[in-house]
Amino acid sequence: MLEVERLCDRVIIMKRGRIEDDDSPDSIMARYNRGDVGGGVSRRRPRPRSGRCAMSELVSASRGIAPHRINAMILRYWYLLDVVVAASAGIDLLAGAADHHLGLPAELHLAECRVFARAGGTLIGAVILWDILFRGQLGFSISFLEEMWARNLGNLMMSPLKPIEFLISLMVMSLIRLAIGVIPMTLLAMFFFDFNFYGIGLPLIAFFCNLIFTSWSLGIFVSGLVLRNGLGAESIVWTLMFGVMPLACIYYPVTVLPHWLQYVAWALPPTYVFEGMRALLIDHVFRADLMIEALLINVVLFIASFAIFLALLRSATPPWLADPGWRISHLSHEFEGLRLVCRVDIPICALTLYYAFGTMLRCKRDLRIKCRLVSLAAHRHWWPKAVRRLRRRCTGCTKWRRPRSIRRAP
Amino acid sequence: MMNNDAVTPQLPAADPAGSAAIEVAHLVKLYKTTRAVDDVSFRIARGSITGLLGGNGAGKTTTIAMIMGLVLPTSGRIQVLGCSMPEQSADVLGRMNFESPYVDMPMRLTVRQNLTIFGRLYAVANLRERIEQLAADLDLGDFLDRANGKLSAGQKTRVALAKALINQPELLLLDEPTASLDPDTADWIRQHLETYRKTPWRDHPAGLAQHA
Repeated sequence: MLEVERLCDRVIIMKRGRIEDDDSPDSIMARYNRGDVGGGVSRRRPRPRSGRCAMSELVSASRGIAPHRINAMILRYWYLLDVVVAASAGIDLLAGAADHHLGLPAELHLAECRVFARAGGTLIGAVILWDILFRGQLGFSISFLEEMWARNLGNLMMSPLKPIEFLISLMVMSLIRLAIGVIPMTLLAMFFFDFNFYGIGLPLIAFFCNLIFTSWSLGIFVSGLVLRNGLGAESIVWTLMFGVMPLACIYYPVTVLPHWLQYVAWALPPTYVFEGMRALLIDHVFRADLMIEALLINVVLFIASFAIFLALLRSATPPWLADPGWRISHLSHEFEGLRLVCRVDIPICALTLYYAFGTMLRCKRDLRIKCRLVSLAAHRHWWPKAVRRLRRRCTGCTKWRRPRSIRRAP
Repeated sequence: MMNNDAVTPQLPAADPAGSAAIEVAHLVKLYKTTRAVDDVSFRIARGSITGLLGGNGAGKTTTIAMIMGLVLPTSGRIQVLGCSMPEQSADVLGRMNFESPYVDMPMRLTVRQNLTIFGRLYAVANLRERIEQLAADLDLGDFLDRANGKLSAGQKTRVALAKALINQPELLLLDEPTASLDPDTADWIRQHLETYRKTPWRDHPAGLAQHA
């Protein structure tokens, strides 16, 4: 009350949504001391006004976009980027080291086995395209969550920054983070697996645009959910893409899905991209029709997700404005970074290695690969029994000799 | 202005000249069946400081959120600095600012980086000079290049106040401006707000302070 007395010329007291009292601090203090506060409240109930049309809000939200505000937001994330660069570089090095340790790369000449080269190329292409989709959404959502973790969203929402400007800056950051994560991956694929991702040529632009649009749409939708429901909805950010994954038919054609599920799969733009990629790499045909269809679905998806974001933004009292439950300690903020690495990058590396290794197992004719498998067996004491049995079945060898490269010196 | 003794409040007259900083008439916000804000009307003149008090669930936060255009009212009319909200929020938000202990600035960024970002968001001219001026006014010089997360509660409040004043706002919304501060720092902040209110370069700054 000291603050009110010192600072305010006037005090409004609210109770149960109504004005209980409205006067100068001195008069209110005097009345409170006499104990006769109350009354003076309106009994009139005005007629509720209908809410604004979502479409008109969508149009007005995208009017008057100011580049200087978008620049300010990009600058804000740019200041933080050194941490991200370090993390990504570390993970990529880790993936590289893991590849090398398992003996997959250097002597693997995919070109020697045509069928294998095709299958392997499709597989690695699919892994990289999936990574674009996944990292695109993640790069978008991480920047958004960064604001939630830092409890900075209130400052931004109460600044002249418009939702559309905020989303554009998140999209730009998603592209930057994507470049940091995916470019090293494509270079690794080129070096280790002899697969030139950029050799896809111009169709790559169509693939990329469709995937990035889908990832942004999903990112905007998930951000809206987090805005509305708080960090409790955060787990959706990490898991949504894994829900999309089996339906997007990344590693297999749509026809392998049950008939009814194929309709759901064709409603997702990534399905068109992965089908298009298989058509390009296996049959050497660019399916422009698939890309156009994907683009049309993407446009609908993008507009719908933006409208949902705006609706969720306006639908409730923002809990980040006053709810102390939203306070997150600095420690948990740091912990988020670690959890992110564990949840995201390690599964991706593991998945990549798993598929690459699985493809190798199927190619029995290549002696070189068999040699490498034998070298892998050198570490058999690390493996569980089931894996050892699988190795024996695939390679056909019951006895093994330690390869020269890792034989101990006498 | 509302008269406490009247059964029906005097409605704020239309304010074409924009002499009132905030003007709210018959504001209602319904959440499903709950009336978070129920027919609230008041008018805050320029150059005044008004305190909005109430217990938990009294509707203060919802009222403030509607004034700032963050939440759509179910019914009622809001005018801030002569512009109706939330329709003209883009024109108004750059002329006002906000400070709350429940909102932080990015922890890993330095104070200078934070102020630079918000200065750019508010399109502040001569930003570097403005930051230096705020640093001198609010005594931020010692930790201007230190990460925000490494500051004490009092230092953070000063930085938050610097952010709130960066665009020289015509309307300043303060949420518990001296919460969790020691008496000396709280007093210092109060004095500074009083000084800001009387600054000659801004004719009629108004403030709305909110307290639980």
